[in-house]
Amino acid sequence: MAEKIKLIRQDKIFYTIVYAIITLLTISVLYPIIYVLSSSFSSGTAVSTGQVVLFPVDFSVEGYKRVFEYERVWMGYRNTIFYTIVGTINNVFMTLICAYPLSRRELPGRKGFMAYFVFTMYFSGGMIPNYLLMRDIGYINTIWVMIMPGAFSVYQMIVTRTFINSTIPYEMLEATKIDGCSDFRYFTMFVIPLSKAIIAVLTLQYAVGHWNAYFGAMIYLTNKNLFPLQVFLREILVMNQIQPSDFTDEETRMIMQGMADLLKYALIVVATFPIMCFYPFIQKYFVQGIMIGSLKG
Amino acid sequence: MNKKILAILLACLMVLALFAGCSKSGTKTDDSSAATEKKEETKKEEPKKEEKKKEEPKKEEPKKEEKKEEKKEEAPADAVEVTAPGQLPIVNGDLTLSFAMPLNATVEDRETNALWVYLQEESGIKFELEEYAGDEYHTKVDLMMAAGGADLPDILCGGSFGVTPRTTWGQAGFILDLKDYINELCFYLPMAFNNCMYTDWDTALAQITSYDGGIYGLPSYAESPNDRVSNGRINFYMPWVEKAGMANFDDNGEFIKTADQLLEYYEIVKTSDFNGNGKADEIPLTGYGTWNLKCAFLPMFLKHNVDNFWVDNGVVKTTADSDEYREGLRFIKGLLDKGYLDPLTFTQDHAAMTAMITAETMTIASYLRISASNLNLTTVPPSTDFEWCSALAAPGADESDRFQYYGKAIAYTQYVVTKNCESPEAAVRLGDFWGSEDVSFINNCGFEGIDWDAVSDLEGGADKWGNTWGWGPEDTYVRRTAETGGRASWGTMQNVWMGNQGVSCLNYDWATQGGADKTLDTWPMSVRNANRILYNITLSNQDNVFAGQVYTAEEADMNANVYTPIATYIEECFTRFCMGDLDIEKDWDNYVNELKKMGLEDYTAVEQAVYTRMFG
Amino acid sequence: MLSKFTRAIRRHWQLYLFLLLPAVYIGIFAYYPMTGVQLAFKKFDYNLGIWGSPWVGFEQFRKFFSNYMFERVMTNTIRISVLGTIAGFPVPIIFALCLNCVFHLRYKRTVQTITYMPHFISTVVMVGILKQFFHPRVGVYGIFYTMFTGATAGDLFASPSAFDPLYIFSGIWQGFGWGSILYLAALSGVSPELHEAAMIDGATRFQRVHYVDIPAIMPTIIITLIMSIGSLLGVGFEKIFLMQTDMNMRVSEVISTYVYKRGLGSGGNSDYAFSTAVGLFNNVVNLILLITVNKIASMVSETSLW
Repeated sequence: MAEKIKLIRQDKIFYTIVYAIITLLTISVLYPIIYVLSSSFSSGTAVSTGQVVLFPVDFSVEGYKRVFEYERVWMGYRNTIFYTIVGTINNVFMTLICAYPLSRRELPGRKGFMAYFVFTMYFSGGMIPNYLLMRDIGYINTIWVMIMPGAFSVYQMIVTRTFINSTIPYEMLEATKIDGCSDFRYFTMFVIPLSKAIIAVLTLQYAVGHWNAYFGAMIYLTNKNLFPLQVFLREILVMNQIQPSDFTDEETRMIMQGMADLLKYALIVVATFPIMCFYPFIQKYFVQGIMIGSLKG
Repeated sequence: MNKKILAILLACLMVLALFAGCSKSGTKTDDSSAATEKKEETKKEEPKKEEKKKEEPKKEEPKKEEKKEEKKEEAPADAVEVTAPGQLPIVNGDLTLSFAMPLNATVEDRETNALWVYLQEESGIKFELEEYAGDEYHTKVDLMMAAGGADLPDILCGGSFGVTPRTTWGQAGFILDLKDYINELCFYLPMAFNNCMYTDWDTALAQITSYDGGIYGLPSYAESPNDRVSNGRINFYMPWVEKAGMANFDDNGEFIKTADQLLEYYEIVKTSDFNGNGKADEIPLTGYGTWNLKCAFLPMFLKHNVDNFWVDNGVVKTTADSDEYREGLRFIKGLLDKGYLDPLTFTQDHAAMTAMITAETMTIASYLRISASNLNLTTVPPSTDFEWCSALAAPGADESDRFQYYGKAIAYTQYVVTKNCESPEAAVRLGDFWGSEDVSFINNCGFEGIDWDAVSDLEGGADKWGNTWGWGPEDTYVRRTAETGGRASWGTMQNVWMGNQGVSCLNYDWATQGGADKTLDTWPMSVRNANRILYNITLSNQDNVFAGQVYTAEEADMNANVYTPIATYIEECFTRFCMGDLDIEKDWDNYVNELKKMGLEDYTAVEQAVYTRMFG
Repeated sequence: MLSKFTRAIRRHWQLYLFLLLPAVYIGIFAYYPMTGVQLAFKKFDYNLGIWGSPWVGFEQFRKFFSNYMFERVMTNTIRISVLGTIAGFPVPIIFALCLNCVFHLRYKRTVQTITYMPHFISTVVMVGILKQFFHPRVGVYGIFYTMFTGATAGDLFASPSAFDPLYIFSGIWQGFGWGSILYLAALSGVSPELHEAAMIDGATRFQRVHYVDIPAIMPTIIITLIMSIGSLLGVGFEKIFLMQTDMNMRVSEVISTYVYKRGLGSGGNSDYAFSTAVGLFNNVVNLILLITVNKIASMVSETSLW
């Protein structure tokens, strides 16, 4: 009995520490988020004069109005959503079909393939050859240039491979092999369902990557109907930072300066709010207990 | 089974997408077939993947053949006739020019923009437009050149291109040397430039000419006398100046003109409790960043601009290792030691400084600023109670011996004609027209009678300290607000002008616009007059200023390799000397030796070569 | 040999088929442009293109190594990177382990959502927040400092010794939530039977973490560590550039900011050859590190890249 009581106390201490750590970290991280939200809902003057500390000052939706006035923001949303969905499906698919074979230790030539892929993480030809490649295969100024290059990240593929290796026991494969299951069927019937957690992670990370993409668009696209959201948002920001001549009327200038600072925050919220809404849907895949029942079957 | 099918479908989708590019650059039928294949999502077996791979080399061959055919068709037809210089329309016949411009968030839609339409109507040329993202505009253009330049449009427009890159591109043949065209065909631009107060046509051309004599673009320019003489100003909180008894305005609206007066005032601020809160928290001087600090206090010792290189009778000399510079450092350090200068000046940004100024309790007696647009607080109390002063005389010197930093205005280029242009004559004529006085105006203010009026009966006014003024030029341009029928205001989203993009030459007349309500109370008199005084002060010193250097490729290389670390080091040591991290007395020699070791003397020789080549 | 090869293919043909598509992708999008690396040994001529430009051997590298700034820049880059990895690597792991122990589902989800939000705040805004927060007079830090000590706080951005902590801790602060996602996913794959068995054996919660959770995610940890070390010379540009001031420049100038400033200096033309050379140097060093660490990992544990 005494042992059990001791255990409970040790556990209690442990849990107290754990909760304390988590709560502290969370609160510390809360500040910049609240700050950004509050700033985006404050007036331009309040933001540029540094008055916003925690809560909105001079509540206004000026920043948001300004951002959404710019019609192209809507076009950007549409494009970005398309690129994100198609691109992410592509990425996740490619990553999985690449990670699975490489997770099989008995595959001959595995090391060679790994080296083949890893090598590309380190050596790249730079902007010019990439531009030439895009031009030669006709991707310049098409939607494909936002989806295809970087079809998958070798880094993510390695992480996925590790995950498959460590979560899906080898015994399962052996068992199915005895039953005459082909590699392909094993992959679709067992590996994928059991890898829901890592698929969720991949989806999230690739989706965010596509959502925030802008550099490729800036270099390869010239048709403004294809530009993703980030390009237009940056445009708004840059525009408001251009110093106008001294000889415009004071009020406009003052408004513009304030607007530039205010826009930064509204833009962050506008750009990240949709993708953050996506997160709760992914969250459920991180719940423990995916493996229940798999071995028993 | 479902999952298997899904997996196969995905695989085929991706393979198709991979070759979608190949087919798109070929005939249109291939394109539509790929698209329909995708849409139908027909079920295919795995072996088909290998078949598609075999198709790829076949598709590439027809693509190449078609490209060759296209090139033959594009041989210049030369059916257009360009009219004589100055005449409109510019062409008799059909001509289409393609442009690339950076996205501009203030322009709603260029295709329907009033100026864009106007230019096409007047010139008779049709425009085709590609818009690149603004942030990486130069990178993209440079990359296109590096990749062979085949997809460049006829004209690159907007976003200024420096002389060095233009020279590189021009010598490589991607953009055209417009010198001859300019001399023969330009009609409006010379007029516009010669109407400017601070420059003229020949000077402007010289500023954009490369070292090999080629002119790879058309010049643009904007006069803003305030910018020329606005570096290094100090803005004072007037209620405290009055309390200190030093608000004695002279005829020109100035009240503090020498460093001695300044130090006197700061001493008073330090020892009086002007904000009445019982704490000695008044800060005489603060700022953001070191540039305005340098411009405020170094010129009075240097007697020339603060730039790292200046010219003394044709000899290029360095600033950062001179004794006068050292004197200036001692002075600034003195300000810090006596508690007059806020140490945060060296690191804070303007938001933080503004927060201090607009805080509940006023603690700032004066602050450094560059130009009005950098700190737009003049309509927010208490900042409406601030007034400028500028160039100060050195300690012990007389108030007539002042030196003001002079920021030389350089013509820049944002209009470049590429090798792909069929008719460079038309392109240059168009640029000439675009940069004419009238069109430059439209590009900034809109159309006369709709968006602005020329007014000659503008009243003067008086500021709160009793200074009055009249109105300088006879005709002034007054923008219309929405109430009076104007369609847009500067900096907002509109569709009337293109924000000075293209070719633009705005002269002093434009610069002296009146306030929208026909009064001048938004523009303090001391600024306006100070401009004139200061400009006259600096007139005699303009020859000392060395700006607008045009480098050869080797010189630009040296600039990047040798000068960049030097400039960083000078900048770093400026702050460290002032803050006391380095001792001005003990560490100075080390500093000078270090500069020598880094190659300052060799590099100075390079700058000298540039100067001699440019200005003889 | 050939028969061994064909036998292998016949046995595992489906797996090889899987690999075919990614391999082709990588071949086209990564290997084909890789030929551009030769630019590191050339002097780029716009007209001649990459293939036609003249060879200059190690000239670009010589420019880089012999530059006055080189020593300082390399030291700073390595120091910031190493310290950042040492300090930053454990935090997402510990956080994930802790969070995994939590019962209350709603609390867990809220915490997850909140902690991964800072990742989305752009660098520019993040540094702006930092500067405002740590301002000696009007920032939260300054106000509290004065409240407790009566004196005005020092300017952290003007202090060379404060740069590393500021940079590294703000990075950890912004990134640990996002970084923990991977570990949480790995932890969710831990069989609950193992935990049940441990509890039956009388293990405390802490012991369960120690003996069940950590070993379960050890492969992920090792791989992530190997990859982190394999990107040591990749200190990001934007954040450092925004946090640099004259006073801390001597500890904050890194390779990326140096290359950027150099590019500006020559008037705006990208010096492709130089930046390719610097990039190549970075990559070679990183690759050597990667191979070394991977070797160590394969000797010490079961997990390694290859």
